[in-house]
This record gives sequence, C-alpha cells and structure tokens, in this order.
Amino acid sequence: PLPKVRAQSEAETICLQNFYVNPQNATKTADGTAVPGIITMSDEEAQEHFDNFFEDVFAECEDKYGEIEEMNVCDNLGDHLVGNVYIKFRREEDAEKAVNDLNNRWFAGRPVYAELSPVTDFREACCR
Amino acid sequence: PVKKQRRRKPSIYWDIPPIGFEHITPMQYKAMQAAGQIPANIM
Repeated sequence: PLPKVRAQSEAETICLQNFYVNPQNATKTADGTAVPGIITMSDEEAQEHFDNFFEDVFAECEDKYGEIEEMNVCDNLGDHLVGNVYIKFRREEDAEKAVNDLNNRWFAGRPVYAELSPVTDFREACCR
Repeated sequence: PVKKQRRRKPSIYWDIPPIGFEHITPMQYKAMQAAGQIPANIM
C-alpha cells in the first residue's frame, strides 16, 4: 500500500534534514566496514551518544513547542535519508511553530533544516 | 507527580553556531550555502 500522506498545510510531523550525525558513520565505508587506520567508536559509546542526542532533541522540542507523539531518527549509511529526524507532534500548530522557529536555530555547529512532512504513519511509510 | 528532570543543561548541541559564523543568523548561513559561498556540509 502507498504511505499515508497529507497536504503539507495539515501536517503535524516535521522533518529535520541530515540532523543526526552518527559518529560511527564517519569512520565506515558505505558497506559498513571500518576504514583501516581510523579509530572507531565502540557500539556502546555510539549508543550512549545516540541516547544523549535523542534525549536532548526530544526534551528541547517538547518543552519549547508542544507534546510529541513520536520521534524517529534515520541512521542509514549513504546519503538517502541519512540523519533525518521525524518528529510527530500531537497538534498541527505546534509542528508549524517548531518548523518556523527551528529554521532560525543552530544545532551542533550547523543550521537546522526543518520542514513539515506529509508522513502521518511511520509503519506505513516506505522509501520511494 | 513531579516531572522528572530528563536532560542535561546546558545542551551541548542546541544553539551552537559553527565556529567563525557566530555573527550571522542560521537563515543567513543557509542563504550563503545556497549561493555556494560556503560548502553545504562542513562538519
């Protein structure tokens, strides 16, 4: 089945493009193997890094913009969807407020690229 | 119930500008990226 999508004007999900930078990805080749000669981060360290990232983003967005129903982080290698973070708010107006404000903020030394996303159900979303 | 403090403050991520670009806004920075004045993906 096709993913459930809606007009952008009524979306309560936002997409933050290339927002999560996996520290392990920088030291791996596209097929997931380690690059020789580069110190890699252990899986435990990477998990802790991710947990801190997730908590920081979730708490900030919920405190500042409104109640979050669901937050998903894409962690694929390669450039497709890499690091995209999808945050589904309970209310549409919170999503709109978040996009407008986040586009004027920095995160980890980079500008935030935020947009409303038409995805409403992540279980039915698929890559085109 | 009292809401648990879930996060470390200050954040090590939020509102941290790229070094050397502290004086411009994120919107100005993105406009410069779009114009090719700075690389799109400096880490």
